[in-house]
Amino acid sequence: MAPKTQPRLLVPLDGSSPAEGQLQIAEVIAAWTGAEIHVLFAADEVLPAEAVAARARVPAAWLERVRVHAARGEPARAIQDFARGIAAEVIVLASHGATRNLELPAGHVTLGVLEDPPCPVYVVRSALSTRSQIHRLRHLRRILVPLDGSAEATQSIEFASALALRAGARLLMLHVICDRPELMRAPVAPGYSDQSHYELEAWGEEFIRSSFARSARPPEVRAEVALRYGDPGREIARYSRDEDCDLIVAAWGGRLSPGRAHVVRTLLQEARCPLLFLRARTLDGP
Amino acid sequence: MERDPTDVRPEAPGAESLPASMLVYDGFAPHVERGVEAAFSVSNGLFGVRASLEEGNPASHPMVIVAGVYVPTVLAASQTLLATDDPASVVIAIDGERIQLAGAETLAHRRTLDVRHGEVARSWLFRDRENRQWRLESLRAASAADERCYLHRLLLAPEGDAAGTVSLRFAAPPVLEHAEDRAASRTVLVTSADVPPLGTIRTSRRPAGDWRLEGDTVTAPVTRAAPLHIESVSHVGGGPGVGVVEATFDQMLASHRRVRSQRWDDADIIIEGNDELQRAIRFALHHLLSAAPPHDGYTSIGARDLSGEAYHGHIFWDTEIFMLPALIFSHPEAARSCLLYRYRTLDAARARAHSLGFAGALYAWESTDTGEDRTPSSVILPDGSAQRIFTGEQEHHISSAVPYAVVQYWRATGDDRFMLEYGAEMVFECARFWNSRVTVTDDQYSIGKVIGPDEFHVGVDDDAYTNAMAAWTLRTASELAGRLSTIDESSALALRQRLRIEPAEPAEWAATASRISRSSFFEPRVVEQFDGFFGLRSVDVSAYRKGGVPLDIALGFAAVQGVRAVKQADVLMTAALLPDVWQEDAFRANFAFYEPLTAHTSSLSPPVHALLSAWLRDAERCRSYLDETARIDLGDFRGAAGGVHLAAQGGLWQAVIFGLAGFKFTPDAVAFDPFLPPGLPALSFALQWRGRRIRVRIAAEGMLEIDVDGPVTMVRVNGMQRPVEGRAVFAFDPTITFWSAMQQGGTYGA
Repeated sequence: MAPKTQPRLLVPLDGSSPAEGQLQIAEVIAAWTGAEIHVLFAADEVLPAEAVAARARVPAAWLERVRVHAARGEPARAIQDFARGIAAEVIVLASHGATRNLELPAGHVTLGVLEDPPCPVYVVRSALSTRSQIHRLRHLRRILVPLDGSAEATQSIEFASALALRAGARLLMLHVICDRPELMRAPVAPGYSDQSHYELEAWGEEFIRSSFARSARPPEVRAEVALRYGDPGREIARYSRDEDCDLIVAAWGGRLSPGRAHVVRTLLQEARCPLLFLRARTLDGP
Repeated sequence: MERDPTDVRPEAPGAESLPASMLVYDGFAPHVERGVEAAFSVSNGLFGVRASLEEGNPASHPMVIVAGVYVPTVLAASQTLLATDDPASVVIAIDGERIQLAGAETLAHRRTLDVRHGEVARSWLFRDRENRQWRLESLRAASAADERCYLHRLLLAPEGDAAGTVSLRFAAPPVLEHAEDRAASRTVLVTSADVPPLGTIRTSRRPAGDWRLEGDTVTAPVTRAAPLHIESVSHVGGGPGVGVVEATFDQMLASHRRVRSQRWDDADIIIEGNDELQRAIRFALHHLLSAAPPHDGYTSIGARDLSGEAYHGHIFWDTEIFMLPALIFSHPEAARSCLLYRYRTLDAARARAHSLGFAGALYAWESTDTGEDRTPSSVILPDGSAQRIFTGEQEHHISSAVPYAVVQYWRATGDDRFMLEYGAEMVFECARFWNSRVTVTDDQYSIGKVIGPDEFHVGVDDDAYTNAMAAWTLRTASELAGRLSTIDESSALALRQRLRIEPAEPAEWAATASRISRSSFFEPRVVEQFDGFFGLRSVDVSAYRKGGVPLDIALGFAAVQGVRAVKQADVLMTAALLPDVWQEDAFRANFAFYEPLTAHTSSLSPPVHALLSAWLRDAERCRSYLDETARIDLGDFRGAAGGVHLAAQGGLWQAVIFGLAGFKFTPDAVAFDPFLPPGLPALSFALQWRGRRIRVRIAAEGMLEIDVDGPVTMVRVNGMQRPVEGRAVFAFDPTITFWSAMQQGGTYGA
């Protein structure tokens, strides 16, 4: 029997700021599965091996705790390819790099990685202190899973459930009935509402049942469901604050072209708790 | 095997060879399973049973729902129909290992709804962990011959020369009893489930083959030649005692099929040229015929019938306006029974009117067993906020819906005895209500603070639909008061005396009717739906339609009050029911105005628009709304999870028969003004009218064939009338609209 491979976690660094905070967060996430931390520095130039860690600004104290790699080429693609190559479980990526334009939800490399990641991506945001992120990730009590009614969104239930089971956390599943239907990918409300007081009652139950039916949620995981109305991104962010959530696990379709990924963009800017994104496998067609 | 749902298409694997009276669902998709269970449910009006997997599944929601028996619920509904366990549910194991879809390798899985016989069959071919192939087949029927009887057959056999020991574990340990039937003396397994307040559901199971009973489990060695074969008969609400001679399962099934197929043949509709519409109309007919309650007048039909728990079995205007027309013309005894339910609850309607300071009868907006109004006054929404509900207080047009159905039934059947003993009383009391409901200010007769079919807007004044139907009720009651005397003078007099109808009262009803504002529409202008409607804020209704979000849910209750949009046909609904109060140009102008403002948030709306589009000869809209209606429950099944939208199915029937066939009637004649949009070359259907069985075939090239089984019948096509005995052929011009035909003397509906 082949030895079981140790899980791997990837931390892309661009050297634009000290890596200590990002590495600390990665270490907490790596502890979830006992993963090995791999650091990747993507650059246009060929660097001698001994220079990579310095250029990536990996503190010396970390050099024995992580493995450092370099890759050439367009950073987002390089990160994706490398993550695939090492079968990374999670990518821990800073929201902004060298450009540091905090008015944008994330930098172009991060957004590029989010478009087609081979695994979940934890986005380290400078809007949140490293300490608070570490604390929340170490003590997961409430994990928020936004659901938009699509089959893809329910994939986040499986990932979040595994996490919740391990951490003893509770799942909070939130569906936002949207007042901007052009933003949504799937039916988000009952198709017809003959008498809304009964329709929402029946539809809410069915929405949750069908979401669970598509996912593999261990029965031991405690879960609650909530509905909100309004702009999905804003309501998810607001709900996460109101409920003091420790982590948001969101699946999304992966297209960041203008007019798309409204929820992802809004959460990157407005959520006040850690964010982890899954690129969902398409189930219902393109 | 799991895949996303498909439409029920005959091109699904293996379905091509099935007759057109079968609907097929291949595969299994957990997230829509509850919708499939409801869509493929069977019922006989006394109870309904969903097409759930017998061996159970996390996605399943098996149940038997019993009509007319309401139990308290902590939910806002306060009362809900009794739902209990399905006796067909059983834990199945092969050689000690429980079998379920999730754990087995499924090679094929199919459910087939035989709409003609009202049965659902299931076939599951799977491979177990020992690599043996097995086939499980089952059949369910809610007997149309004996309404207490639920028939279920289960067969499990290996393929090839495989063998195994099969065990079935029931919810409760069965008792062995000895029973005689015409075939032989046999041992049966009997379980009784106590289901208060219904009584018991007693199930007799007759396993075939070499089996033994240990506690709650039946075990049998099984081969292909000696399958496990169990026939179960459940009596809902009691059953025969031990040793009583019973018919065999096959005999009971044959009786059921005989009754059901006769009803089907009296109602079937064939739409040539469009398989989806054909399936949809047959699906609609299956559920409408299955919903027909026992003929004892005790109960009626709830919004989702007996196929699911949504709406808790509460009875709305949906029944009288959307469901009953199909039954009036295909199964009039059932329609009569539904109207008798309204007669049985008339005292509750009187009490309600009185409690609000009105005369006559105000029927419950949401009715259950006693006729008291069960509409919740508020509800806690899933986001935790509280919402007031006003429909129970203000949606009074229910007291026009009941008289409308009474009169429609009477005119279609000629059941004078019903009208004298029951119907007229309901019409008179509702007229009294409207006469007291109207307020008169400066000779302006108004009905204020109501909710019309457009439930977006509450507390409105002079809603067009409410006013028009109130005026109709008053006018009809006045005419009826005089008419009854010509039918049976002494009975009519006795009724007037019992109800203390003053001599001047009928004339007063007629006078009030003629003065109610916004109740007739002969001028070619757009009618304001209610006072102030034109001044409301405009909103892009089509954007919400495209996004699939009901407008009131998207905007919220408060915001939707202020927008110029309608939930469903309101002004336009008056034309669907009372075309006589419209002039064609007026109707066209109002359709052009209101149709774009209609959000179709209610499932009742698309079929009404299909019907009206047919009358307007708008082929594109007609097809679009027909297709939308067809998809309400059959589209992706999710919407049907809580039960089939039976009113929408009734609406589809009306869109086809009243719309495409242009069927109209009076007590003296039947009339047709057909219109078949391109792509529908022919339409055939059967209906009953005044004791006659009538079959019609309409061909798009302009030929109508009619076959009347019964006395000579006056038939009018495009206004041209002649008596028909047996078979006749008429030519028609599809460009002739209903109104132009009306000008030649036709009238419609009630």
